[in-house]
Formats: sequence, C-alpha cells, structure tokens
Amino acid sequence: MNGNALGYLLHTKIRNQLAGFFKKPVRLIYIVVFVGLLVVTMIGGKEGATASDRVIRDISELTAGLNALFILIFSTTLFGGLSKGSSFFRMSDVNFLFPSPLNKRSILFYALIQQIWSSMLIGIFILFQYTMLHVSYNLSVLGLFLIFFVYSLTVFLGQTLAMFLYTYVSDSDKKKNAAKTALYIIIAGLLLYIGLNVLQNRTEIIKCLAEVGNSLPVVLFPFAGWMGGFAGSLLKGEYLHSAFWLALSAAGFVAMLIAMSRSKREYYEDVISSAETMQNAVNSMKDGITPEASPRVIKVGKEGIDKGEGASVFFYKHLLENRRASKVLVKPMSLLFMVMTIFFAVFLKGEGILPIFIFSVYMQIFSVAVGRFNRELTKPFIYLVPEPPFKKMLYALAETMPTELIESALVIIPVSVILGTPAYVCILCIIARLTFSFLFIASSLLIERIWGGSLSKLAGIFIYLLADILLALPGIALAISLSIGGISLFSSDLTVFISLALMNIPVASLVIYLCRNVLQYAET
Amino acid sequence: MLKVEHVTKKYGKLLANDDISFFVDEGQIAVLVGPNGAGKSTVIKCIAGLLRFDGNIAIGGFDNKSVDAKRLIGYVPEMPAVYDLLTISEHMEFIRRAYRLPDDGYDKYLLERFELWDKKDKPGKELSKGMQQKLSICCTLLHRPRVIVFDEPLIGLDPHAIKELKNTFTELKQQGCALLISTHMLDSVEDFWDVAHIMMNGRFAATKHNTTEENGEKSLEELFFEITEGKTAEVSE
Repeated sequence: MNGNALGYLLHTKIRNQLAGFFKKPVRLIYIVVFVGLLVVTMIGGKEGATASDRVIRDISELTAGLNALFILIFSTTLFGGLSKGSSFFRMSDVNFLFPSPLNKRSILFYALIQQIWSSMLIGIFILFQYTMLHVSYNLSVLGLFLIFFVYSLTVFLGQTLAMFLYTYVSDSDKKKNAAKTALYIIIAGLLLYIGLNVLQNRTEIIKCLAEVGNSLPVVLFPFAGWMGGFAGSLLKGEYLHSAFWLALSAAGFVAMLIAMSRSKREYYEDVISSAETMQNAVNSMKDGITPEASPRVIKVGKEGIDKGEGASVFFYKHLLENRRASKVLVKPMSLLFMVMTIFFAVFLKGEGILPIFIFSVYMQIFSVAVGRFNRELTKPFIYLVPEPPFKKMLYALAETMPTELIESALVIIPVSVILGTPAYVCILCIIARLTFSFLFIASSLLIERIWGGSLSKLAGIFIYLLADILLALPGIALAISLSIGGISLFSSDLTVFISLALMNIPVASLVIYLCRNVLQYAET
Repeated sequence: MLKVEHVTKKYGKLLANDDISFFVDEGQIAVLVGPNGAGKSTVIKCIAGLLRFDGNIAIGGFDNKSVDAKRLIGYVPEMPAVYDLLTISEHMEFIRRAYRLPDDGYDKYLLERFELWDKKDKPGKELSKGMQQKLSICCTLLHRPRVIVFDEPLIGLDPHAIKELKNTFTELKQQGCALLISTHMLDSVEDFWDVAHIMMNGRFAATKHNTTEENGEKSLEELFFEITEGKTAEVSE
C-alpha cells in the first residue's frame, strides 16, 4: 500500500510534467532549442577537432580538473547543508507525507529518487563544454555524458551526506561547528599539500597540478574524490580502478542509507526548515522576486543611507545594499565567476587574452542579470517614487559603474598577470568588459520595455540571451570588418577591444534612451 | 479624488478587467470585494501605475502615471516587498529621502504605532511576513498620501496591527483621504465602508452604498453570496 501511494505520486508527477509539454507547447520549443544548441556544440567540437594546428592535451589535466570540480561542488553542498539543513523534501511532502501513516523508509526512498532528477538538472552546464573538451582532450560524447552523470551523482551524494550528518549535529551548535571544522581541516590539508607541491615545481605548474590533482590524497577525499577516481580511471581506460572507486562510493552510500533508515533520530524536524526556505524561494520566484544572495545573518554595521534626495537616493541605497550583501567587494556569484575565469586563464595560457575575455563576458551575462538594477525592478518603490522616470533609471543604474569596474579589474588584472599581457591591453580589456555591462543592462531594459514582466522565467532568460547577442553584433561586426580589411589598431587583441568598446557604448546608450520611460509601469 | 474610467486590462487572451469605471471621493472608503481571480488586484495595480491598461485613471485630477499623481498616491501591495538588506529605520529613511520629506518624527510615530520601533535595526530579511506587511504600510503612509489603495492589507497581521490599521482607516477618512481597499474578508470592513463594489469575472457585478436607505435591503454579505454563488443579483447602480 505504501509503495503504491508513493509510486502513484512519482508516476503522476512525471506524467503531468510530460503532459505539461503538450499543454504548453512553448516548453516543447525550449526543449527543441536546448537540444539544437547541444547539437550545435557537438558539431562545433567535431569541426574544431579537424583543425590542423590542434594540440591534444594530457588527459591527466582533465581528470585532475574533474577531481577539483567534484570536490568543490561536494564541499559547497555539504557546507550549505550543515549550516542550513539539507532536504530532498518539498513543502508538499512535508505537509502530506510526514503526518501520513506511510512507512518512514519508503518516504526516504521516494525522496531520494525525486532528488536524483533535481541533481541532474544542476549539471546540465557540463554538456555545453563539449567543444572545448573535445578539441583539447579528444573527449568523446560518451565521455562527456559520463562526466555529466558523475557530476550529478556527486551533487546527490553531497546532499545525502549533508542530510545524514545534519540529523546528528542539528541539536547542538558545538556539533555543527565540529563537523564544519573537520571539513575545513580536510580541505585546508589538501590545499596545503597541493600548494607545497606547486612551490617545489614552479617551472611546470600545469604539469604539477595535473599530477597532484590525481594523487591519492586528493582521490581519497570522501565521495567527491572517489567519484573523481571512478570517472578519471574510466576515461583513462583503467577499468579495474574505476570499478574499485565506484564500489567504494556505492558502499559508502548504502552505509549512509542503512544508518539513516535504522536511526532512531527523527530527521523530519531537521528537513522542515530547509523545505520551508525552499518553498519561500519558489513563492518569491512566482511573484517575480529573485531571492537576494545575501549572508544568512546580515551584519548591519553602520546604519543609514545618509545621502540622496529624490531619485538619487536609489544610488546611495544600492551602495549600502552592496556593502551588506557581501563581505568582499563583489557579489558572491561574481566571485565564483572570477575564480572560474582565472582558473581558465591558467589552462589556456598559450591562447592569448581574447578567449579568456570572451569567457569572462559570457559569465558576466549572468552576473549582470542578478544585479541591483534588475532586482530594483521587482519592487514597487521605483515606480511609485514621484520623480521623472528617466532620472530614476539613471540613478538606479549609476551603481553599476563602480561595481562593474571593480569586478572587471579584479578579473582582468590577475588574468593579465598570468598571461603576461601589457598594461595598456589590460586597461582596454577592462574598459571593453565594462561596456558589456551596459550592453547587458540595456538588453534587460529592452525586454522590460517590450514585454514587461509578462514573460515566463525560461522565456525571459532565452530572450535575454538573444537580445545580448543582437546588441553585441555591431561591435563584433566592426571587429570582424577591421580584421578582414587588414586594419590593425596596434595589435589584433587591441583592435577587437577598441571595436567592441566603440560600438557597445552608443548601442547601449541608444537603447537606454529609447527605454527612458520604462519605469512608468511595472507590468507584472 | 480617484477617478477610474473605462479601464480594460488584458493578460494575453485573459480579460482581467473589463471596462471598469468608478470613483472614490475625498473622505470616502471604497471596498473591492470578490472571489479569487475576480480582477481586484489587477485594477488596484492599474491605479497604482504598475500596469499598462486601456482607459483613464486620474488621481487628484492628474493622470495616474504623472509625477504629480505619484505624490498623491500610496499603495500597499498584497505581497509586502521590502528590501532584504535595509533595516526597518532605513526603509523609512529611504522613503523620506525619495519623497523629499522633512525629518519631522512621523516615521517614528508610525513605527511605534505598528509596534516596529523596538525592531527598527532589524534588516528586512529577518522580518516575518506580518512584520514586513506592517513595514510596507508604514512606508506607504509616511508621505501622507491623499489617495491610498490597499490590496488585501489585513492578511498576515496580528490582532493589534489589525486594530491599528482599522483605526488608521477611520482617521485617514476623517482627514479627507480617499481609500480603496481590496479584500476577501467581508467582516473586516463592515464597520467603516462607504461604498462596496462586488467584482466577478473582471467586472463590477454590483455596487452597494452604506446608507440608511440601502441598508434596509440586503447586507453586503448576503448580496456578495447571492452574486458569487450564482443567484440573481440586484444591482443598485
């Protein structure tokens, strides 16, 4: 009976989700577009592989990178779970299943099956890395899907371990801190080990990182290292090794499950608060409010906006919000993107600054989308304040300038140091990146002007990406034209940066001006 | 003070408001009642200047999208939208500066009245839904608007705040403000409403005045259920 009820629930959810594609054909279109983009990526990868000057890199670099990625995502999931509680359960499960007479173990298994699907969604970005991975490491499509599945499994294992541990430590802050400290010590030990090895082999940093990243201390990292060992061994054709790491991970997972299902400790209470948090986030998204990525406990510090009258108060309020949102100078998401870009620069050292610049601009699309201005549009105040709409818009955008300048400098300066780029190229690169911030904001405004808030979340993202590409086209076209015409402004990199900056500024300014009355309505 | 003329609002194919016209005078409290999805919040958002619509809305004689109208209107949304990273007192400071208001202590008065003064240093993120709603009301009242639209203002409030808000309604009415309140809870407005519009399917199904002549007829509640449960309604206008 238990199995029937939960089986019915799972089966009905899946059936309704599939039926939703036909009831709302726009969802089907997204899937087609998604698959189309994936196919384009795959074809691009194959094309790139035929290039005559192609150099296939050592697969150990890739497996070391995978170990680092798995450990990073696993630790982040685990830390999050230990701090706030981790839950596979939705609020509907909490309300309907927990008070029901259904078997506790069956409910746990139902949640685990449900969670595997969610974990897979998190790893979808990996599928779009095919071109780079195929060209650089000759990775096959099968290999790419292997990485995707192992990444998803690692996220899933991190969530399971977090939930398992949380039931044991949630009753005391001391226990929570002890668990976190243990994890900190393991990670610090690993970093120290890697750092010392790199210091001893400073002449060949990448080779050294590849060796250390595949070494036993790294691969022994619970679950994440084991899964990395499994994927890495399989990619290298070491099937016996991969079977060992898979068996170790499976044994660890089964042990956790047995301990959880036999435990007398009640996990229901522990998951309720995280299920509520998740539900609140979902509700906020439905109301068009993106949850603020702020610290769990906000340190208020010095109180007061102190400056500004009329529209200008939005600028000073944004500065205050930025100060409280993050302990460092930049948004948490931007910080992650910066680390990724710098990491990327280390591996693509020989390719020049242009690929790194393109990568950092690609990341910027997403960080600008969650910026202060776009967040302000989700609240009614900016529409209600009795000031001219264009003035309000300019002041609400003003914060973007210092924030994006700092972010661009923090990304490009380290990249330039790694690549040995001259200072003037570095400065122009920062300026060019800054112009893209305005271009992406202009793109958001354009969408707001045309559709208001009437687009669905997914359609909004899709059209935002499309508008970004369209608005960037004049700059790209100028750069290509100059290149074809053999016109070089000092160097090929500089020609690109100057072309982009020259075109992005007028395009963004024109769009912003045309959308000057966008703050008259908050169409929702 | 508030004049709504032939307002029609469509979301794609869905007709949320269909040719709605009404007005609210100075010192009058109008209520919008109706089942879920009747179009109450939509017309409120149109009045607040948050939605595009066909028709005309005037506030104190000014077009509702004009800066002059925005000085006169106050809007309390159904979902309180406060800033996670600003404290309660900073929200008040923000409104004071944005509306160029003098620092005359009215913010403190409002926060004390809604029992938020002792929590003034708490950031928005740490407030419960009820506290966020109270803060939203205080922010709206701070610039002393002449036309105030409330969208389900009593939901999530504790008994003290409900009492204070009801008293505030009466005081604002005495001060000559025009109030429009959307609500599901008929009993919550029975003490002070002047005119009630019952909405169904984006239109006014009936309008009832709280006068001695009309009170001899059906009560607001009787009329509401008669209309919403599908029986024949007597429309007074």
